[in-house]
Amino acid sequence: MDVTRREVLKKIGLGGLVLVGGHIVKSPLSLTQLAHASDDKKWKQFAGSKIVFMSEDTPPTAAIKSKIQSFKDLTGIDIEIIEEHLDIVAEKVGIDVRGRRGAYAAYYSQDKPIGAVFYKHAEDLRKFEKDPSLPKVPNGTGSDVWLNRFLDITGRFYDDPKIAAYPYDNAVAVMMYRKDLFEKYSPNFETETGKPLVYTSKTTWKDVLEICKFFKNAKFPDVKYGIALQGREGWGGQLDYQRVSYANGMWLEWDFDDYFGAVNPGPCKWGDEQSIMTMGNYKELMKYAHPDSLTNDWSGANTAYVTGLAAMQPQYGEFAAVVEDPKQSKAAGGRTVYDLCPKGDPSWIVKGGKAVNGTNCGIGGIAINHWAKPEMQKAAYLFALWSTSHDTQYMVLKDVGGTPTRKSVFDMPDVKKAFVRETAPMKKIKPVEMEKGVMVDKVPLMPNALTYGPILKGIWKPDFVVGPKVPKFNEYIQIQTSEIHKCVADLKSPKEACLSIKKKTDRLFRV
Amino acid sequence: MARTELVSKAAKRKRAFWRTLMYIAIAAFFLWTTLPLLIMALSSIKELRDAFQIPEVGDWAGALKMIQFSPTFHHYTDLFTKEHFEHYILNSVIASGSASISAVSLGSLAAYGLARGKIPGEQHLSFWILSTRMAPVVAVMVPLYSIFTGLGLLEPSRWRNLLGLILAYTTFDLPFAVWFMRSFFEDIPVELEEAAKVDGCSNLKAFRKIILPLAMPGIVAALILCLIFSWNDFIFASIFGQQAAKTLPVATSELHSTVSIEWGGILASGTLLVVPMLFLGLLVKKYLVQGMTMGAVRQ
Amino acid sequence: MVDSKEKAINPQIPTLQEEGVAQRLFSRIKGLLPFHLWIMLPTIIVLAAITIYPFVWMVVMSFKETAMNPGESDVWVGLYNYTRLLDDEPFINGVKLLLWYFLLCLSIEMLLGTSVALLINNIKFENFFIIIFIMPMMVAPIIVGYLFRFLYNVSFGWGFWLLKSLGLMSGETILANAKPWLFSFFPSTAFMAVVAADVWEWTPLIFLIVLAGLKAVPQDQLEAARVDGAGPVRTFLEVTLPNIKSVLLIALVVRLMDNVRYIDLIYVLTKGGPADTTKILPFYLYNVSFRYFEFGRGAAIGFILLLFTIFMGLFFVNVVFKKKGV
Repeated sequence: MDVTRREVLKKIGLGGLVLVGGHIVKSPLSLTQLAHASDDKKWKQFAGSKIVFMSEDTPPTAAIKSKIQSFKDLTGIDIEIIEEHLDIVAEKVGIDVRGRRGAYAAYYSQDKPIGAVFYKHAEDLRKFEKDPSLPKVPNGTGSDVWLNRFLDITGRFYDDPKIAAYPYDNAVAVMMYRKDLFEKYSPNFETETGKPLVYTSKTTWKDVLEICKFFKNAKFPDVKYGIALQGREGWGGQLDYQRVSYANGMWLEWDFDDYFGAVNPGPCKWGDEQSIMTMGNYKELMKYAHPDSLTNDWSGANTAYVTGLAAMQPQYGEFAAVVEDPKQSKAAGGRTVYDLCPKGDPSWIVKGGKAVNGTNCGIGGIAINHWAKPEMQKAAYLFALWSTSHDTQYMVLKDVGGTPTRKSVFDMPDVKKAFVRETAPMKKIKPVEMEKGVMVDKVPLMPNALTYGPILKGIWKPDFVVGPKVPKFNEYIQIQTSEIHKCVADLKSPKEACLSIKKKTDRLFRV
Repeated sequence: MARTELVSKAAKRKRAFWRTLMYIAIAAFFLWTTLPLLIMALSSIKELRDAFQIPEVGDWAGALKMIQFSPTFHHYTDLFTKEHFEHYILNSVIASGSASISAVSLGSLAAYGLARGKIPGEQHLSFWILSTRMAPVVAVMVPLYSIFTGLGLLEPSRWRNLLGLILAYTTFDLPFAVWFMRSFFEDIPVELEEAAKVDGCSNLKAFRKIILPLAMPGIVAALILCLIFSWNDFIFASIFGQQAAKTLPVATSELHSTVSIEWGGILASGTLLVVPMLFLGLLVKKYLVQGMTMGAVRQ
Repeated sequence: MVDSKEKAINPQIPTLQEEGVAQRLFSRIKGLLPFHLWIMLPTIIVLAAITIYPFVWMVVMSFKETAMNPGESDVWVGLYNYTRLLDDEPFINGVKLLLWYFLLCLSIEMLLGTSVALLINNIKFENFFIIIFIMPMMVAPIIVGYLFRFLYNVSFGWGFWLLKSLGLMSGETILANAKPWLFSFFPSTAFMAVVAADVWEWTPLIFLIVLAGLKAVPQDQLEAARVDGAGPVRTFLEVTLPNIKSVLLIALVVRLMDNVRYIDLIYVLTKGGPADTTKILPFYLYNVSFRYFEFGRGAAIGFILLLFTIFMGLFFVNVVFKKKGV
């Protein structure tokens, strides 16, 4: 138990802190409270069975894994949690369901790369909800208990009323920036541009570009670049680009409702005036960003940020755990501020489109494998219920760092306090010397919660962008990112790149 | 008299020149090979923040930063206390060791058969053997997966999964082993076995008593190379090894999680991987290189 | 007792002493195949068992479009999976890059490995050099990928620092650099970076195999060449090379096969980017099969790759090395 916990802590980058900080806070809530006396039998009915949950190696999974004993105590089910890279999860789940094997009774269904592709291989969760022999959790699992429309994001696909997965993990993009550097170099910036160097939720991508140019040209000793982007081939690059393209004119590649997506999306809008303009601007941003931005994914960009090479990064909330760890990060100790992603800029938008704080996400769901045996499915459903219940989410958030998806967790008074650095509960650690004379001796107890302020603001329309849910999502993003790369690398003009995406994408969807 | 002296002096100078060039070339290759390893080993005993320090471009004096740090071994201890690398090392050793041994045992028989037998269509047979190693792994992964499922090798059990890996590695080591050892058998004069047979040995006995000892260097060499190939495998291990028989390369790749790349652990694990080479190197020298001086039997 | 002499020569002739039924049956069976085929049988069976079904599967699948969802079944599409490749940009790009990859990796590794083996052979401290030089092989490719990703990083990579400081690189980045390296017809800098990692890891294999071959070159032949007054180059071409030909061939073919089979390095270093400049055909195949889950399309590409490898293999075996009886 102790070993697994440390393993988890290390994985989410808190190892050093907690080992020194002493004993981990004991959860005030016992998970067995879930099981009301009458329900106890229902929870226990599959005792002795063994199931496998195939999951991405995200912080919440690591956290859940460390707490798995309480699930075993509650149900008597022996569960094995496999943690892999998202790519490998998709690969293994894909081989499993396409081979009709059903070895993973429950699997991690990331909304677009896995859900949109394989949702038909997931059991309809409504079936289990209606089943009187299965237990319920407090507040239930209706669509209103989750943040915003997270249940639609992870569970609903196309015109199918089926619910394929419960929201299990949320990764929403926010802007992280170095307040200390912004303050320090504001005078220089002001003499150059006549404006103070600040970042607010009104800051636009064009302003960001200006800041990037400033940092890159100035060659300060303690920071080299303005921003670290994450343009790596595939999903990372697609999300990175989407934050810019959606902010400027709420541009989407197709017009369907992005919460549900479309099987046959029809002709895409790539190649229109707005897409070409954004492509040119993104290229410009890349030119002044950290030079590895085209090959970095989220963790690469984060490394550039925490090693002090970039003053800003658009990043997913769960990375706060690393950013706030002084042993790994030069951006720890209150130097980082979290805010909404940049807004679109009127001059970057074609004819009257709206400028928004383009915020996107990867919401991981937990799905039940259609090919697993019925009893296994039910046992896996118990795990899905338990792992997304209020008590579990609250517990893992407090103890090891999770990314809750239930509204009620965000309403807890101590979580609310943790949104803001001034009121956030802190934890003492063995002092770490950040640089000569600067010591850090305490860190936030729930570092991820520092990002919840902007996250809770960002996940609503019009700022929030969910899509595109299309069945060939994975091939589409390859097409998209490889053309973006060609444009950034000067191999194609923005127009050529956009038209090429248009041609290939329409061919992909047989338009 | 003076002339010859002059000539020999020029020849000497020429030889010295070539010799120097040779040393420079060796030194260059030495640096090319060792620098990445050295940086790997040094970085693995640094705190990450030290490992991330590099000087400004062109600041050669700053390169000293590479060795200015206070060493820490926690990346290594973490591998064992937190990640259970001892299991993964054991899995790797069992899987690659058993696979190499079975590949070399089966392969030496087949290689001898190929080298000696007068089998119709031998050319095609031998190329077919080689071609079984040519299919891109990705393209045949799905049918392989169903074969392995059918054999029950993917059930969550360490021994079954290990057996699966051994089977997979054996099949991709075999063609190499056959081809590699065949040339060794061909180099052993047929007369030796014929003499043995005249003395009353059966085919099998002649092979065992006469041929095998002579071909030992080749067999050990094949074993070492098979060991390296299966030791290095990632794709089979990641799909067939499952959780229970996770090997070292797979476990190392998992140190790169969604949120961070655990550089310290990855580099420490890489350094650990090199260590067996030091022992293997001695074996290599003994069998592969010195033992292969078979000039005596070779025509 | 047993007429073992005769039996050894003619194992199919049962002798008088073997009269038990079981023994008789045994010698019958034994007589069915010559000894040399018998001992090959285990290998043939194992290889056939594990490769024939996947091969047939791959060929059949390449004529189908695989069903994505439960309840649907695969559709025969004839040659569509092949014909669509004709104007499939990533496929054509992948072929081109694969050829580059072969050309660069194989030629550099062969040249470098052979020359180092020649240089090292019989010098002082040979043992020491052998142990050092073969070390990279033990680091699994996936970890070599991480090591080079670490070295190439612009923020903290010593490799990047060294290249920049030596003035060997103009760009600001290595792995995100899609610009051609040195000459405009060359592949991208990122591609060369992958090649460098491959060369670093696998030159030792060639080195080792060639060195082993060198040790087996008969002394008398070398002696004879020296007596003839042949220089080192001529000795190498006329005596050494013919002697190490067969090991060289094996080394070359193994590297050829593994370059097609494995994508570990690219998987870690670049994932095929930037701008598709490292998306060699096997990596594209990986994307098609395990990212897009189009097994039919993947099978077609896989089959083409297999044919291509076989062709290259035959070419090396029969044309370049003209090995008798192979």
